[in-house]
Amino acid sequence: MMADAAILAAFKWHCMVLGAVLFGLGLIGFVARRNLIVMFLSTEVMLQGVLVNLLGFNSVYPTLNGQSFALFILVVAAVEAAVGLGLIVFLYRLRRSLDSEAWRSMSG
Amino acid sequence: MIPLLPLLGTLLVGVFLRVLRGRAHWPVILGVAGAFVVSMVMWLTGDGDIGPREVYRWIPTGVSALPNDEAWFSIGFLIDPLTIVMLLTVTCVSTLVVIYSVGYMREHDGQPERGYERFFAFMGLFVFSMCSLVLAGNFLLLYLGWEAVGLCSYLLIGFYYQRPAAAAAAKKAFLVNRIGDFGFGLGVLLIYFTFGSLDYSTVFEATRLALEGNAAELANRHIANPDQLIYQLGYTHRLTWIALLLFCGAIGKSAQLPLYVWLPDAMEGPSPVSALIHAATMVTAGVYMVARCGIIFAPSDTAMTVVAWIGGLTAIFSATIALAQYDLKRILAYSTVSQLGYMFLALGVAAPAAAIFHLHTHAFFKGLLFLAAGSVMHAMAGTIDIRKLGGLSKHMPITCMTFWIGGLALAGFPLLSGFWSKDEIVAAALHHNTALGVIGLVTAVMTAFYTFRAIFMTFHGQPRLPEGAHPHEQPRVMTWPLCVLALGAVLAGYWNIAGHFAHYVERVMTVPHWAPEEHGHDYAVMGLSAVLAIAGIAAAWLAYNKKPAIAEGVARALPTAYRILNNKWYVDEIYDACLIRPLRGIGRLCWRIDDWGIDGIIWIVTAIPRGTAWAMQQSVQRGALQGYALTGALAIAILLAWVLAKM
Repeated sequence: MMADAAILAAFKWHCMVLGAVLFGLGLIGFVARRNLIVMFLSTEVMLQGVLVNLLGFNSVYPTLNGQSFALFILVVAAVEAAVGLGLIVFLYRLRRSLDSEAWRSMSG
Repeated sequence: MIPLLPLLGTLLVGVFLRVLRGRAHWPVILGVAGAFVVSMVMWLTGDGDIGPREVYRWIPTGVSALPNDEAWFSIGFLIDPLTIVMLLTVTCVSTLVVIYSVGYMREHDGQPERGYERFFAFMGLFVFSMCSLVLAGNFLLLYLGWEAVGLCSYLLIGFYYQRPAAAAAAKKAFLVNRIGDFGFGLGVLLIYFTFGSLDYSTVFEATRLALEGNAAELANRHIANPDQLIYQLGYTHRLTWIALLLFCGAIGKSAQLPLYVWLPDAMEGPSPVSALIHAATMVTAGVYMVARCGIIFAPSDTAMTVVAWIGGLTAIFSATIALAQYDLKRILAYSTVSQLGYMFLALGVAAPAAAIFHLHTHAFFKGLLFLAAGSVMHAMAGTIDIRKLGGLSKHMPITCMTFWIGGLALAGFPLLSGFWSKDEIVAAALHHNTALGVIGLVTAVMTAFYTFRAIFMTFHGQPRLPEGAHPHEQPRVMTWPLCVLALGAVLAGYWNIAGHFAHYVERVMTVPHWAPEEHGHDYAVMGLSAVLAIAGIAAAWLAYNKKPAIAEGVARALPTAYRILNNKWYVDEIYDACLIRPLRGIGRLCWRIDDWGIDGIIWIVTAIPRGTAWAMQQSVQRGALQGYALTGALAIAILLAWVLAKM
């Protein structure tokens, strides 16, 4: 039992580190790249980092709330990915470019 | 029930606008005619004294001089002979007018005009407003109906809103009415402050008792301060003030001097609307209101004198204007103003039954005249200048005949309705004050003269029609109401033979201070006014049919008088110079202050955030997505660092 507890604690830390790394990579990708699709992928990576974090913390508790929550987010993310990609395709058609600078005039 | 039927018609038209289209007249006709039938039933069954009915408790007044459950402004109706007479007149004439409109509101190829549905919806609303005004059982509802007819008149006068003249006329009618209504509103407020209630029954009863000095009975009826009320009514000018303020409203609504100016301009609306406004609804409201509030007016000599003289002066003043007009409908409009003057004259000399009787007969023949004039206008494709008409009797026999009947009735030709009613007024005026009586007689001559001047120039003599005009008789849906109204114009006067009508309405209008009227016919006055009417007609015939040279000769001999009359005493110009221009100046000044002063301050205040925002846009918000993301990430990093440092 003791060994299990130690493994679980280590698992939690590993998850947190992995999540932070994924999130950081996503963030860097989002800020550094100007291709809309890559930026979109980066946001997905950030999201996955958060999900990994959720799984790690779930291991501390006896319930499965964290894991099921992560599953829900996964589904929503899939839907959102469809919408986001659709939007990007539409934007591409308007400007014939995937450069985010092309939309600067929006001043958003 | 009665007001609801036309309202229902209106609502149906309003809701099923697109579905009904050219059939939009059906719901309104049925609604108005239904109201007429119900009024007939009420008139024929029972003695007409149904009394007050409360339908719905509307607004709690809070202040309760009465036991708690009575402290309400309620939607209540009062039905008595006076109401029933008004309802009969209003709904009967309205029904015929609405039927006539079915023919009038069409192009020559029989297609409905633009806005056909809208027209009928407004007509229904108009009749509804007038019915609720007449039926109202308290001053608040009266005021509501009062304003509603004002609104409807605005909508209908401005029916051809694409025409600037129509839009201006509608605006004028509304604004002039507002001046009067303001006084009326103040009067209603004063009534409330004095009596603590707006119900007719309470107010009238309290007035009567207070004037008798019957404090005990007043207290019995839960009046808060009987002694104070007796003092106010008996020893101060409170009643005079109330009466005069209410009369202000009547002046506006019933187009009396000095607020009559809107009525002649109201000709810009379609002719059926003119008929409705002049005959049945709207302008009669003032007369009705003064008759209804007789007990408030009668004790005050000042108020009665004002009413009588304003009526008399209006009668003669507008008759002089009508002498020199060339627009057929405008002549009729000034004659309406003049006839309304007669009614107020009658009220002022304490002959309310005569006033209501004249209102009743006038509704028939004036409605008839306007519809006939509309028929001429329709046939002539809008030409209404009597200098360009003439000899129409050959082309439009029915219109001509009915117009003749209406004209004879208006002129007071013996045995037609106008003769009976006008006669009583003149007789009552002569009894009361010789000057007023003489005014009445002179006006009668002028009325006969200008009416027949119009008839001879329109229907007889040499045709002076413009090129390409093809006058023709109108379809049956238009001539038929004309005939019915003509019948009414002939017969309506016989209701009062031996004073039947007067007895019928007077039961509710008898007030202690009004001396009982004598109901015998004054044969001397009758004969005199008959002779005068015939003289006026004969003079018109001589001057405008037999020898047109005479009319031109007179106009040339008195150029100044002619010019003044033709320009309506320059009243519009005087108002423009004395009132409208200064007011417009003040308005412009206020606008400038608002535009430069107040808006300037606001501009300065808003400059601060605008400047900040501009700086932000130049520095941070340049529109680059990555920039925003970086800012966000940095912010999170700073937050994180702060949280960690705290730990």
